[in-house]
Amino acid sequence: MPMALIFEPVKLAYYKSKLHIVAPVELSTIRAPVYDLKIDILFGICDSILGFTDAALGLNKQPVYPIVSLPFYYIDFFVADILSAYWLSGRGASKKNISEHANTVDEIALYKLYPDIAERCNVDTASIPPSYFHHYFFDCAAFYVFSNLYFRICSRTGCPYSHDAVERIRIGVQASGFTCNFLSLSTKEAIYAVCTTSSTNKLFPQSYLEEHPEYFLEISRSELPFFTRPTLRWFWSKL
Amino acid sequence: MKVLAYPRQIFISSKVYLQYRDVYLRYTHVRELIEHDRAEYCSALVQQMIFLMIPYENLVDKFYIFILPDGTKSCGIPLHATLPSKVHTKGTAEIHYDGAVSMWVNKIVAYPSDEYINARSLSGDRVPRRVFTVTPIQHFPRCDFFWGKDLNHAVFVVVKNIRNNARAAPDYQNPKNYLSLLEFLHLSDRDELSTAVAELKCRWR
Repeated sequence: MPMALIFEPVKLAYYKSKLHIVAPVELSTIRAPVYDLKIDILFGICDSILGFTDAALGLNKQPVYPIVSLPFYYIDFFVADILSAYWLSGRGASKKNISEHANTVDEIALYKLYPDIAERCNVDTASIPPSYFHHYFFDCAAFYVFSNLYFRICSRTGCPYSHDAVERIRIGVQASGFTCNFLSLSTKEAIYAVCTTSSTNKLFPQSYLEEHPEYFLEISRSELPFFTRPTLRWFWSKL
Repeated sequence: MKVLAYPRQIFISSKVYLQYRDVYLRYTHVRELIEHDRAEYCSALVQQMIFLMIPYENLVDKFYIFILPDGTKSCGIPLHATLPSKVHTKGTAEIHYDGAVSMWVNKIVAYPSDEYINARSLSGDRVPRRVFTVTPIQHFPRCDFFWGKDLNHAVFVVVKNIRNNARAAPDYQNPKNYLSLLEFLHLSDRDELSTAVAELKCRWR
């Protein structure tokens, strides 16, 4: 299987009245409407949201980001798939109860498609149940992107990394209103959104935000209605 | 036609909303009723709109689809909010407050516009209802998102089952007339406002 495909954004295709993950090998043959998987990350604070300057993110796309929208690549999928197995097993999930959570839809598990990578990463694929793709996969995948983004922001801005806050989010990821999902027809994106509210100030201490306006800015609720992205509309209506 | 319109600020700042509510509760609602044409061109005002969606039985992921006379498909009925009146205006939803100075609404009576009265269902039948009565327990004003050229409509989505209503016609009992929002988003010729609502409410996971 061509390695280059794993650096493509994950695609979801609409057929049989549902969105299905397209395996990299099917990318060239799929005829159904296709959407890129994006992970939107939004940090809420009270009546506003925390925006970032490009100096904080280094993405070179826009001067200010009220929301961070990142493509989710097949390689991310691969890593998140494996990590989520460890995260769930760390929570005492046995093979049996993971199987109970497994979806019946024909989702893919990338470690099966790329056994050589799994081998090089010392992943014990035999320990992962055959239909491992579980309800929490997208939550775990979103958390994986979120934790990497948070680490990146802390590295670039010097903000102290709060391991406790991240760990608390990871533990609560399956139960909280931490995530939501949307379809954006205009941008052809299937969005999985991650939103922090009460934990934002634990991740980014208020005093640090105030001391570094070159990296952070608060975007008030009154400005959000001008954005049409479903994630921002959803967050705005929740405020 | 007179519609309910509110100062824009109350929708975009919860602090202002609370201040407004404190003042509001001392007075009646009459002062929010304003001529539609006037509200339409007043930048300080936002009109309250209700987007009424009809789910199939208790399945809140399947909604009745209207095919309008021009072929456009809609997943709900857009209505301007107004107050109860002896003369009912098409295209409006009369909001019945719990009391003269309450912000809680216990009944909404919807009078769809002609294009919705003349709409057809997915199975091709005429939509058999001219009036819908739903009983949400909600406080108003409310907004899920702003809509319109000047973002001068505050759209609030009301999802209410009419299937168990004794007056509901067989057309509403036919599951073929209902689609999930994901299915709706893949239809052609969708109504623009319906598409915005579906994008906000559709969950693909």
